[in-house]
Amino acid sequence: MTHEEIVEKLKSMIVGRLNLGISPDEIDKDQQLFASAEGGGLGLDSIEALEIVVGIEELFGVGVEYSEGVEQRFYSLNTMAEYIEELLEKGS
Amino acid sequence: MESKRVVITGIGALSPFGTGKDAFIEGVRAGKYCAEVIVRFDTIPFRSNQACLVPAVELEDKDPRLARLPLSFKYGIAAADEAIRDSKLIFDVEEKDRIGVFYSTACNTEQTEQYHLGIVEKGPSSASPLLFQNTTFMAGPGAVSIKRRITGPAIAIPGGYASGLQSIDVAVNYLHQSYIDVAIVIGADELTRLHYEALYRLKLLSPRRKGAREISRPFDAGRDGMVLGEGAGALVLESLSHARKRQAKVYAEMVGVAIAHDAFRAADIAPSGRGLATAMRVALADAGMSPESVEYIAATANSTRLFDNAEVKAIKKVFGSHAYRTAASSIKSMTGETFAASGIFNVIACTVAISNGFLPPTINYEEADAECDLDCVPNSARAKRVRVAMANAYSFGGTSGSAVLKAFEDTEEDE
Repeated sequence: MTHEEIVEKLKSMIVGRLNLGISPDEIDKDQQLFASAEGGGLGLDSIEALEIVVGIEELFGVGVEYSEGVEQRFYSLNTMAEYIEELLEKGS
Repeated sequence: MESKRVVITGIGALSPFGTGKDAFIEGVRAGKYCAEVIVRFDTIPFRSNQACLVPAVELEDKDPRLARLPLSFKYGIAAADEAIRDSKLIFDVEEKDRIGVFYSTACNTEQTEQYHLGIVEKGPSSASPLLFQNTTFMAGPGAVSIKRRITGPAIAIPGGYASGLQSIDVAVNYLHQSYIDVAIVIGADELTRLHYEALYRLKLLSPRRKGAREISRPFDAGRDGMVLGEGAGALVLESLSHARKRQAKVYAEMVGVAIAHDAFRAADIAPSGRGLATAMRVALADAGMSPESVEYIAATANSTRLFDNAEVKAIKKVFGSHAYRTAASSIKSMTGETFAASGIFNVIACTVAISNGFLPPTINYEEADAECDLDCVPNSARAKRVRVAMANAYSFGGTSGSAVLKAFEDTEEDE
């Protein structure tokens, strides 16, 4: 799975699970996920982050440790995809 | 000695009649029957397939966090929004910790079922945090409070089909104690497949006759079970002194309310209607009124032999010979059994009798039943304006409630 494929899968999963009412293409892969909408981010909250964790685990079959520092890995879709690539590598 | 007078200053309804209190009032006036074939979920396994569902819900706010809430909470939020708009309360000038939210539900939501099903099928690690958050009892009252930064009590009351009146009872007590000035009271439920199936298997639903509509016909000799409904009703209750200060329009005065339990069986009601009789008697005492003053009763009868008979017995017990001189109709003949919303809808029906000048009918009434021989305002609304009306609610499990409403007279007593 390429980096871009992971990003695309993440976009669809996030829009679907969070019922965001937008098209997956409307999320930029470098957009900040947790910054406010006014600040150009997606404005997600901590429960939504947990929902994304459950989504990643189902979609990619990896275990995500939701602990300190994970915010940096969840900064944008790009950083999230890098993190998933690492987890997939570790698992294989 | 109780001194605080409580008035209704806002009404909201999202019902099988459609969006808004006006749709509700016009539907009741026309005697519109709301049952349709269910398309929301598969009814093929059952011998029933109809219900009175809310046609559509649209929220004021386009926030995805509200959009993904269960239907039931969206109904409640929409009804609360309307009641608050209707009351013309201006939140910028209100003391937010003097406002309370009292939110009642009777049933689980479809998302609650999904949440548990997911855990059963895929294990605990697949539990959806969002579904968890959206399906807690506080999701509805929380959403109503958060939107307006209301910091007084927010209370969730999951009290069965009578919970609409339970939430009024709790709210009125807060108002009487002067803990708050304003109460936003909501009763809301959605119809889910699981709830439908449970009541079907208990043989409580009206069975389908070939090609015919399933009929909700409270008090009629041919009644054969419930037709289910759903929806949300909301009221703004306010201390009279607060309503006066802001020159609010008043629909009616809430003069008495009581809830009671029949202490009979876990999923049944006492056939004598003793619990409901207690609620009516205590509500009248709370109002300081005699049974003879009640001119209209918004009955809780839901087209089952058990409930309708029990309510008629209870009314006769409390009202004696006056039972035959007052009118007692059931709007569930039009909306079906609407669970937590039903108690609020019955209170709205009372405000209709008090301020819109007609008594809601019991529709689908064809054949008199010797056991239900009260004046049920058969088939069409009756032009009449009443001064005092009573709203009832009765639930499986034995909880019941009763409220007494009176036409508002702005006398100086109280404060």
